[in-house]
Amino acid sequence: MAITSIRRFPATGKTRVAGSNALVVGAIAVLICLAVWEVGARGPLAGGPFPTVGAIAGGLVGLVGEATFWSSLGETLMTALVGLGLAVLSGVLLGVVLGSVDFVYRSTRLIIEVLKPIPPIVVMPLVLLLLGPTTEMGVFLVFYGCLWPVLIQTVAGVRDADPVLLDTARSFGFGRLQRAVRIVLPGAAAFIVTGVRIAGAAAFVIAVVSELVGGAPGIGRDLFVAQNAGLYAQMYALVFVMGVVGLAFNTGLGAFEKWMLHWHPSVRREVVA
Amino acid sequence: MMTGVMTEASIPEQTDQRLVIEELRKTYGTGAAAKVVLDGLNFDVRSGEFVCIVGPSGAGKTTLLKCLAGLLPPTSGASYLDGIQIDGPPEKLALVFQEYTRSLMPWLTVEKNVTLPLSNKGISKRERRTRAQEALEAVGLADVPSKYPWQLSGGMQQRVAIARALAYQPEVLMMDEPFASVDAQTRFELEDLTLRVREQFGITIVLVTHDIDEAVYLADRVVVLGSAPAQVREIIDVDVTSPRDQVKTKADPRFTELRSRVFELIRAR
Ligand SMILES: Nc1ncnc2c1ncn2[C@@H]1O[C@H](COP(=O)(O)OP(=O)(O)O)[C@@H](O)[C@H]1O
Ligand SMILES: [Mg+2]
Repeated sequence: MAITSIRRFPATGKTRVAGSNALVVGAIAVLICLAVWEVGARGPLAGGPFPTVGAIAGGLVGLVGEATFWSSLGETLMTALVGLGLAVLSGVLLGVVLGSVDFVYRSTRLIIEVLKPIPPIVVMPLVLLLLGPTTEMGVFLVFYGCLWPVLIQTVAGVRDADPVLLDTARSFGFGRLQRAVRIVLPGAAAFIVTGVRIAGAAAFVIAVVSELVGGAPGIGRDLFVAQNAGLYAQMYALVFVMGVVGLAFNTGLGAFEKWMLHWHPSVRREVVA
Repeated sequence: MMTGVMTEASIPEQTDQRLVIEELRKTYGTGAAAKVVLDGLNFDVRSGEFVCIVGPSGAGKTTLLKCLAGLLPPTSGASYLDGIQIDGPPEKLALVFQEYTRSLMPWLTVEKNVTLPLSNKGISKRERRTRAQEALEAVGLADVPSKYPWQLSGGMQQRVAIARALAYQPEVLMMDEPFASVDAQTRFELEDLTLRVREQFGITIVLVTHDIDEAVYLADRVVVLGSAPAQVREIIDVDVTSPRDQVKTKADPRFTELRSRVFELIRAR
């Protein structure tokens, strides 16, 4: 219940805005949502777990003043980033090997197809048993969840490598490893970066879930604590923070994608225009 | 050189022959699906010579060039570069493909594209830049080193590919239908550029084309291939005066005569 609402928040809260017009429209929509909330909180839903907008803002101000909040937020971001980083590193390395060696590709395809759809939350009990409610547990879950999109995208990108480019490199005496590093990898960049973006969007969510459900330290656990203690204003303030951070996270990844792929047809058209 | 069946170990006699192609056969696939593409080719290329290989589409020209460039092992027979059997990409050789959009790295600038193959040769960074500048100058692109290939026209991209091959300082330059995808005006320019480059760098050039005019215009000798399975129909000495000129050479009666001859050879059977 709580998980799904958090899951949805970064995705639907605010989609990427383009141009000032969309910004204005977006701002109006936000104001309407806040107004509806306020009316509900003061009227029919008063007294329930729905504090007023003012109360939530107060909770937010309180949070921001607390050192523990910042260390929790840092913990969550670290979990997400370290897990994502490890996933990208191993996903790309593994993907290049799987993608370039035909025999390995064909023999591992089924395994990957089976493992890919298993959500990280399902493996949590096992990981929790092994690592306990620790940061490592969270990092591992993020790693597990992020590995598949990166791996699958890398394999696709490697297999998409242009044979003319490869022949060109070979004719200039590039060996296997050199071709992998200097031709195949940059050529697969568009695929890989897309994988990283998908993984990145999941990384923050998984980090929060591992804390909320698994008890790893971070704002997810703070949310759980606030909810249990009935500190609703603080709870919603935390949800708001998650939304903002999730959005910032995805925006950062989007910018990274643009920077990495400035040469790629998907990006460069916008640059030229 | 004496013709006749040679044993595997025998090495062609030393002459000014740069490339020797002996009974070169290439079959794609095996068993019932086997398809013979090159059916026992014999010819040679002399040092400093410009040889054009002309044949209809699907004749096996690309296959032949890939075999000569060491990218594809022949099914039987062999080719030799300076007496050494080609069994992998030789260092003395550079290749220019038809598909310039696909043979340049879109993530690298023009200059980086040109210097990329040099990183392999143990050449200092400064030397690499100098070579890139010289090569880009030779193809008339001295002013675009920091542009990306996709910001250039097709003809300019192919110039970059040629510059990259030149910077590699090969002794033999092989080109696979390098001007087939550019407009006619650009093609003439690039043809003359190739002739100039050959004078300037003194390299041996093997150029594959389906364009008879182009073959006769550029070549010292034209190797005419029949349709698949390809065999050498004839090797024609192009005895028109050099330097070539797009207007004068093509108006030369001898040029017209040779062009008709090649046309008839290709059309035969
Ligand atoms: N990798 C391959 N596998 C099977 N057949 C091929 C392959 N490459 C080329 N062919 C076939 O060989 C023939 C010659 O091709 P190619 O050398 O590309 O001819 P050209 O360059 O003269 O147009 C064509 O019929 C083509 O379909
Ligand atoms: Mg071809």
